[in-house]
Amino acid sequence: MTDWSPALLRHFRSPVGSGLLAGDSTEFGTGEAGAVKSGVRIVYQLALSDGDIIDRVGWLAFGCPATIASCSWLAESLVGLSVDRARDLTGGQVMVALDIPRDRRSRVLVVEDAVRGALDAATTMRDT
Amino acid sequence: MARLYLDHAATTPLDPAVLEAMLPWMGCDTGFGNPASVTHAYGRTAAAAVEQARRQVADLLQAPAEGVIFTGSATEAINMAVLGSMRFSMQRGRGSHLVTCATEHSAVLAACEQLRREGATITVLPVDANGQLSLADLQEALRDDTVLVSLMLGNNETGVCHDIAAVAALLQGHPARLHVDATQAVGKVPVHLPALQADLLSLSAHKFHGPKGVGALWRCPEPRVRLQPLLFGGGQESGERSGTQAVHQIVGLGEACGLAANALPAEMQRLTALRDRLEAGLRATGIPMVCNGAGRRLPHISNLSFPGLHGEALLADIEPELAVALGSACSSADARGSHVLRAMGLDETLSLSAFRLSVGRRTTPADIDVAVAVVARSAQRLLRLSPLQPRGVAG
Ligand SMILES: Cc1ncc(COP(=O)(O)O)c(C=O)c1O
Repeated sequence: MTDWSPALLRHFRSPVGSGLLAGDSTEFGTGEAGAVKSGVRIVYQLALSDGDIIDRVGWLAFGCPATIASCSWLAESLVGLSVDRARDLTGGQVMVALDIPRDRRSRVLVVEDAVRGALDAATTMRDT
Repeated sequence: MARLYLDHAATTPLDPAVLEAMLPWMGCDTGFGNPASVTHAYGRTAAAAVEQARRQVADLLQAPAEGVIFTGSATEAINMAVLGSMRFSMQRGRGSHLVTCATEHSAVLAACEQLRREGATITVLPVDANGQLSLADLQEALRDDTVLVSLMLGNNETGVCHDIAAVAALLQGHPARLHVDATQAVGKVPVHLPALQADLLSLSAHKFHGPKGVGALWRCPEPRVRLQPLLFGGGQESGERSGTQAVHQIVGLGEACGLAANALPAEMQRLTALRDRLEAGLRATGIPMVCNGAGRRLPHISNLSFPGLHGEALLADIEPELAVALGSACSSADARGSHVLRAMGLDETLSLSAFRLSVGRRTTPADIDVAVAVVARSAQRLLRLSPLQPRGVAG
């Protein structure tokens, strides 16, 4: 089996921000990506404070340890960032931080898609 | 390292008695003779050891010892049986058709692919959702030019057994030979040739507490089933497997067969009870679970799915405590997953969550209780993270 990095295992075993956000769904944006058929399915949620700062994150993930750890690492990194700064966060940074094995990098991109979807939804919600 | 080893279908630890029996044949001063060197005692004692091991293998199978050909693995034994009998026939312009099944081990299926490239026609029988093949399908697949039917006794991923005696009965009066891959079954259930009526049978020592790197092909000596050898050379093993015999390995295989013969059938009942305890224990946790494969199964293998969680995540989570196998290889190396589960028509949520636990000689009921607790804890944790479940709420 794959040798996962210590950082990846730490996030996998004690994930940050898992579970969906509580409260009125108009208060946060939801992004979904992936398909069970391909072994990854992500639901990602972000809530923004008045100053356009991400103040709450939630997610659910079906996937390998790299998938779950990526969701967790992003959750840890996203809270407190402005929407613009959050958009600068990329799958590439996750790959480096968690030392994601080459054959799992596509999973991180699916997580990135879900996060982008959530950011878009959250900003749309704010603008309407 | 994981504390508890529950992957005995992959390989088993050496039995201490097997190691003990092998050591004298790895000596620096004695026990190193070449069994073919009949001119001196070094060779003759080695040859006697090989012949004793041949009898031990044959006794376990309740078959004549002349039928035993030692090989380097079950993979080699299978290749010998499949390629050897088909090439023998095809080179003489006789039949070129083989029947096998979609859930066979890759050693059989890849050898069949090679035969296809050499001009053979291969029929691969399907299985139903339980992993069982239909005798009617087999009957229909048989042709006048069918040379070989190759089926496993018990499946290495699910444990599902084919009714080999019924297959043999069906082949009565048909010239096709029957090869049985008994690699997973030997040592776990009685594998007796008089009952199975197979013409060829493959096994491997490391699956039943013998050493790695040695197996055997039993082929009916009378009337002799003819095979085209894979290896040419000094004519060892009745000319069918040239190369100096690995005496210590062969002795280890023989000893493992002796131990297995003594332990059966009580060991079969013990393993069955462990597997049933495992499945009942996990079911009692209330976590939705599917057992993949049904009907007659080998006693030591359990292939399970927890729909909604990813098998790889489960395995990584329990790895510090339990060594088990993924039911379905689904890394990018083999994105299509297990060919066995696919043949059974499992949907993706089941096949991606499948994992295999397999018990062995040293597994105890207390080990099973630990395994149930560890698997249940991880499954519950991962299901809480899963979007394929009724939705959880962040805490
Ligand atoms: C059913 C079956 N056939 C064949 C083999 C191959 O055995 P070996 O490792 O001795 O080549 C295995 C083991 O992986 C098996 O389970």
